[in-house]
Amino acid sequence: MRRGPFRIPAGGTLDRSRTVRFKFDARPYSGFAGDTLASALLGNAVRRVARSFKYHRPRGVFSSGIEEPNALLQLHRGARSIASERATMVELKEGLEAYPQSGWPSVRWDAARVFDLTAPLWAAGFYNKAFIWPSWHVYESLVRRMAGLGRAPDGADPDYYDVRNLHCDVLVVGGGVAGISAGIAAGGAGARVLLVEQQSALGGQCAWDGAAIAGRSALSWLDTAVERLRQLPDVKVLTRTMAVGHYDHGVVSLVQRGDDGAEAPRETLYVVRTGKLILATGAIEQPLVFCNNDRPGIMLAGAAREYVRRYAVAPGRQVLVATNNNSAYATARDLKDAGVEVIGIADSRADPSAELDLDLRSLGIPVFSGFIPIDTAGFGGLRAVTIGKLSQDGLAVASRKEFACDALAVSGGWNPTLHLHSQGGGNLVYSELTGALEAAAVRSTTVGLVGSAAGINRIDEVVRHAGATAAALAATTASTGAVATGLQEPAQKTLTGAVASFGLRISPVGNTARKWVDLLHDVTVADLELAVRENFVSVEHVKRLTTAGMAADQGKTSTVLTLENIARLRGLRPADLGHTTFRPPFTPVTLGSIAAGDVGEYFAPRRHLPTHAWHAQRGAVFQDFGEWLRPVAYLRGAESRAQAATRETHAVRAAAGVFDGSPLGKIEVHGPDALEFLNKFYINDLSTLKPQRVRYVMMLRESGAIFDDGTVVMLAPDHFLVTTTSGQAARVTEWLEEWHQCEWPQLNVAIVPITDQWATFSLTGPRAREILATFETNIDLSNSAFPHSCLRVGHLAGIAARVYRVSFSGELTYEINVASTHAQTFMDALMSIGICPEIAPFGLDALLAMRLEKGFLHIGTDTDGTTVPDDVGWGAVAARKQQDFIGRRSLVLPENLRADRLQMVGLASLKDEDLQPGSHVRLPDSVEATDGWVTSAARGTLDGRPIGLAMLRAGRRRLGTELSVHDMGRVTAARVVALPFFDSTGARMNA
Amino acid sequence: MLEVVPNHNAVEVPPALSTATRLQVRVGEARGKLTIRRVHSETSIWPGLPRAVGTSAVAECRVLCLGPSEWLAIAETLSLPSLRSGAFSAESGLIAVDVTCAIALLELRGSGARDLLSGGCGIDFDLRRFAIGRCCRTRLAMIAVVIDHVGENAYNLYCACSYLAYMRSWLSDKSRYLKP
Repeated sequence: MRRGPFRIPAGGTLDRSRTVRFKFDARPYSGFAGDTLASALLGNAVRRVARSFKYHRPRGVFSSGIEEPNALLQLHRGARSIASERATMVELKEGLEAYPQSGWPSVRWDAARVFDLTAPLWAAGFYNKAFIWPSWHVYESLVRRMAGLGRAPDGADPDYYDVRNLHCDVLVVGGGVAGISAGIAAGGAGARVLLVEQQSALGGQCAWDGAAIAGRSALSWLDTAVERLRQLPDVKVLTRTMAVGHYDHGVVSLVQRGDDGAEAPRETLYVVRTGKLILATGAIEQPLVFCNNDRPGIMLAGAAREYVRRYAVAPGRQVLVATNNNSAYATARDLKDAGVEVIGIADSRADPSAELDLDLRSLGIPVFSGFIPIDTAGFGGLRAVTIGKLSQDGLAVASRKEFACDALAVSGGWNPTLHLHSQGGGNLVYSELTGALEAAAVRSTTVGLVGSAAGINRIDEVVRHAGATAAALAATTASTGAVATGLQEPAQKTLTGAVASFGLRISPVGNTARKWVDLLHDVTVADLELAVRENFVSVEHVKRLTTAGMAADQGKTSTVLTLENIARLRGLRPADLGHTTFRPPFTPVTLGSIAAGDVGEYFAPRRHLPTHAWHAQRGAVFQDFGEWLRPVAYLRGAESRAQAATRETHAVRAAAGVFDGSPLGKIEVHGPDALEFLNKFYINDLSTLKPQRVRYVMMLRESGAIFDDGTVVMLAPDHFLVTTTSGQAARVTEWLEEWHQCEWPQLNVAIVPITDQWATFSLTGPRAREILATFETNIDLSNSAFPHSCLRVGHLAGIAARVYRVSFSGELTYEINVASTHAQTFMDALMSIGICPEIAPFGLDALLAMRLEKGFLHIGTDTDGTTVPDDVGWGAVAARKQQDFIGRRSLVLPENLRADRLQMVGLASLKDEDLQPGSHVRLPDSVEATDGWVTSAARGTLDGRPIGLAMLRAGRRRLGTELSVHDMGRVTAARVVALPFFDSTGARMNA
Repeated sequence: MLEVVPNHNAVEVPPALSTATRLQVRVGEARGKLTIRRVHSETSIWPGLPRAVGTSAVAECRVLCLGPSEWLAIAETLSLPSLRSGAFSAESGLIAVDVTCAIALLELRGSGARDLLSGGCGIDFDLRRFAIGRCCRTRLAMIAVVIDHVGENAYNLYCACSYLAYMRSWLSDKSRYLKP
């Protein structure tokens, strides 16, 4: 195997016995098991992995973790393709294919680099200023082509994503030394613990940094600690898992990457409900700001250390280290120990030896005290770095040195990772001491910070503090029982360690348009200057104008530097500036994991009719109506859906048909106050309702808008049957419950939804009575004994039934309710009656055409959220009612009394052309763009002429008016006609 | 008055599920069911009913307390739960409505049941919190259900009959991904 040119022959935690082949930009490379994609690319000396977002400058790997702003790559091709994956987080797998996301013709030679050469044209907010004349649309297609990162997969995702709910007393985020210590302490205290770690194994930095804990090697400590965790009975560990969101009431969302295995989900979303949250999330290193600080070869010092120690990859052949704090010295030492040439350390502090308590000569590396990088050179990658010592006033360079080198490791200090803390409402403050956004004094009884997230760096103190904090939190959890006292373990924040002190990290000299603050969105100091010059004052506003911190990395390496720059430009202290808001998710989350299993068949619940199979056998075409799968028509032979509906309506009008109305909402209301209760909901006066009589009723929202319609029947003075439209059954039940529980708890009623208990079949047509009479029944079916708008309870063919005489088709109709488990028996009995040639099952298409002909209202089709009863001809009923009802007061608002409101009318086409629902209508003399719209349309069931219902401005005054109907550029004409279109005396349904 | 004792073994769980089968889902046999409601807010609760929401009791039939004024009674057979008819009257303030045909029963048996339920439901099924004998009304796979912990690794799941096909399909789809 060809060893990568930057690969160090020995060391690291790689499995060198396992070579892993992969491709980048269609070229074959190889790495080792244990590599990330980023370390493998560096190992193969691939320096340019991306082009920057705006200026198309070459970019290389900048970090070794989730904060990566440069190495965002497209993985795979086809349906499994995924965009903007951070190469630093991708475990190297055999056959992995990665592609750059930008650069034409290639990432190495990108013609769009021209944007870099013309950079002054593309300052912050340029698109808001430049693309105004003559119109944004002139530029839109070009801008859309140039903008954006990555490509969407070109097929439906073939993988499975899972979702799980988890519960715990203590959730520990982060599986490094602090997190493990916290997990052991919380688990040891008897709490139910969940510990999550983003990497594939626990340990974090201590797994590779060679530290010593409690006087022994970190690896030996780690082995013991992991074993202790395993032995604790109530501790669960999830690796490869990122905590991405922290919400109210201790809800935390986690996303776990799947491990290999055919049956394993690609990702799993965990919704965790936890009592306490411990953040052991560590810290993220911040860069330095100087001219041309974005060239490939420039990398965070901590990352350089991780690459050399963990992955045995050198960041370059000659490395310069630049820092403002102590932490980068470890990088320099480790690079030197690994045999990499370290040119020197530029430390912006005047006297680092005092800070380090170290004779710098003992390092064997030149240290340039008081020097900060000023500029860099190199077109495709870093070639040289200029460092400078500033003059007394800090505005000019007093002396400078230039070094030829191909890597620069920079450290601008460490910022604790407190995103989850902030998302959950925790406050952050800028600390002058550390130059970091730290947690404000924590008094939370539910969230604890440990390790470097709490600003603690000395390893033994990390172990002690994390354990004590976790034990204190665990002591007050559900499992352990005590009451929270609000005490938090005080930390000994001795700052000996990484950020004992920090020096200058923003070079004050040089061209600010070449000093990058946000690498991913190509935001420079000049952009921030422009924003402040244009009087953007708030950090939130500057962020939105410049887009600093708004990229896919959400400013993990830029937020603090942006704050410091704005503060400097405005002459304020950063602490007085506040900070931008941290929102979930912490890192990008795939749509697949959010959708999880709720796709395809499980996108929404489906409800089946009790006799679903029976309908299917008869050629039913099913459609989804408010979760219910309902037959719209029953196809015979080569019939079209429209032909089938026409045949069905003819059969009903001529003889009889049967419609499955089982989804009809059914509610029983019991109790001595049931009548008083129900009367508060409907515009109809129920106080005159007689037993066994059916009343058509309409209910309103508080706004006066029509909410639902249906029927009410009194079975007994304390027992009522209520029906609702099929789609609103659950909503009406909730509505009744809400008013009962919140407003009228003194009324003694019980509301029992029973939709699923009863199957409902409408036997309708002129021969319906004749058919029903063939059943053995104890119900007198004669018109005098059982007239329209009545209900009878009895038996039909030995089956208990509630039979309504109500009609939505305009024909004589018996609406028969039987227990849903008897539905099939009943239908079999009905269909075996030989009195007609057949009883046609008919679907919703036929039913809706017939009801349209009768001018019957279909709530939600003919009405919308603004329709009041008077608009559809029910104003008089509402006005007559003496008692109060919900929505009544709104009916007299001026808006609801306007004479030119939209009102329901009938339309007859003048041209034998179908009317289309949604078409707009215009009156002949109209100056308005629209005078209303068609709400329903059909063809007359007997004469076949096109008819419709419309909501028309002052419609009831327009009878006979001819108007134009506009549908997608097609114009036709219709006349406003009286309703109904059919059987205006109602003789047929009263027959 | 009915003698009611808290019961933790109301439903017999098939013994010795093979270790390979972490889960069996089957549609339960038809059983009579009544929803019981308290109409009068001031009347005291009939002592035959469990008082605490989320608990169950068993005498002639199993009774689940689903809300402050709501119970579900489930018989062992198709006939309606034989609660004393005198229990339901204007005086008692309790009413009962037959929901035998409205509610379907799915029986989940096996050590995978809890995992499966957690895939679509936010309830904490930890045995210390949702012990045998506990029940709850909640949402599973986006629909309203009642979950009744009837025995060791045994859960009865009640949903509206019209959702039965969807629920079965969801359970079977999700159980494919249960870890062995």
